[in-house]
Amino acid sequence: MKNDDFVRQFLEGNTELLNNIYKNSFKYVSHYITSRDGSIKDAEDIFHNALLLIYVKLKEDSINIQSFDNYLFTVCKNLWKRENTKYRVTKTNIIPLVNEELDKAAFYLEHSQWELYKEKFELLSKQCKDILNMVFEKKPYTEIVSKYSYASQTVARQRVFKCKSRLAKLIKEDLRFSKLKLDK
Amino acid sequence: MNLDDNISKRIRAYLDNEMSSIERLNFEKELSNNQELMDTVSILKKMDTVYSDTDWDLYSGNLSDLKETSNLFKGEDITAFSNQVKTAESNYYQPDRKKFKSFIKYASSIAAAVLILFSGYYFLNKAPTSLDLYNDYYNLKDLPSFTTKSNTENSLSKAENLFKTKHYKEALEMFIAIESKNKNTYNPNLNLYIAICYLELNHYDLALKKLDVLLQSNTLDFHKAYWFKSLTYLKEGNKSQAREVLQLLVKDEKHFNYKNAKELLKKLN
Repeated sequence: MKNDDFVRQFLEGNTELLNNIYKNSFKYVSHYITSRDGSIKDAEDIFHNALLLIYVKLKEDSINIQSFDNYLFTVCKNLWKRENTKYRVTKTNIIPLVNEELDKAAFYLEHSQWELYKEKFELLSKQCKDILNMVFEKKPYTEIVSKYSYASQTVARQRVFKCKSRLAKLIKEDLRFSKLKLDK
Repeated sequence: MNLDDNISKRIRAYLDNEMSSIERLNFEKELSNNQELMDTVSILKKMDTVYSDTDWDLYSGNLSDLKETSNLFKGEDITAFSNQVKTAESNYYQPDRKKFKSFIKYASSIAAAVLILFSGYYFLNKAPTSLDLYNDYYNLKDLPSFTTKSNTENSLSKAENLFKTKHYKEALEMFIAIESKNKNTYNPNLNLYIAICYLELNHYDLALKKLDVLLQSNTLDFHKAYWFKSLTYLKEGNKSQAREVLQLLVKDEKHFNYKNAKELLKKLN
């Protein structure tokens, strides 16, 4: 990745390139956040922090980006989801991160783990992916039974668990897994 | 670890809350002594958060690991990059000024020669640019006012004042907040102000999207959207789209700014 001209210029903080990134992507991020109870100031902070995260990841050579704009939008969306979760969560075992660098580090680990989970999901068979998507979209089991002609809901539940176990195995076998545990 | 049927059943019962309190306690004891099983259960638990795409799993591990990772976000290069990003952000809000500056720089170097050679021809045949037309026809008086004698201090009039004093970002935030608080009541004037804030901030796509909402609305003022859409296209430099929208506007004499639209169309043709 580091040989890529775009990445090289990005890591150098090339003004023209960063201006173009703002011009092409900020309006979408701003729209996404302001239409979900956020302010433009929130959108600016999210956009800034997303670029910083990508900078660190590219410097570490730990990502392979297919489309920069899509990746940036995904990071922004996740950062905004995180902000909302932070305000909602009352779990006592969460460290209150007042230090900005620690907070960025936490997101770095969280996002890397999120990417690992997403990446492994893609390795499942098409049928497993389809069934699990229905489960995660909270579709009723009756719908899964009828779509895949299972004998009963019990059979469907067993099938779902098998797919989930296969996915868990793929995640656990990856070397990144133990480094990225968020609740060590 | 491949899960045998027995352990699979127990994990499912545990995750689905189908264990008695004693069974649960025993299973949790087993988990604390079996790291591999613990990992599997914790991954399975996490799946809903990750794949449902609605929530986010926050870090709840130890601080020393985090401190080590935070070193990645320290250093001169990070500060320098962060400053570059901030510069790009402020450049984003001043594209016209930048364009204007570079135009002046370029123009001043060749102005004398151009003036000598082409001044006569230029002044006789000059066609207005789309930005010229936008500046000529964009008039703040075309926008409604929320201020009345009795409620000069309400939030709509405050947002309008921010708009009038050219604090477009702040005005936009306030208008959007008012809109989301009143989701059940559609206010065409509020919709229009949000669109014009976007226009002022050069978010043309968003301005057009918001104007389309007005156009599709069942309100008396829906046709104002034609006029402001044409201005948005002009500011964006898209004369042909501006012309197309104006042609829709002049189909009805009762439409907003009918006369101006006719005049503008002539200049565009």
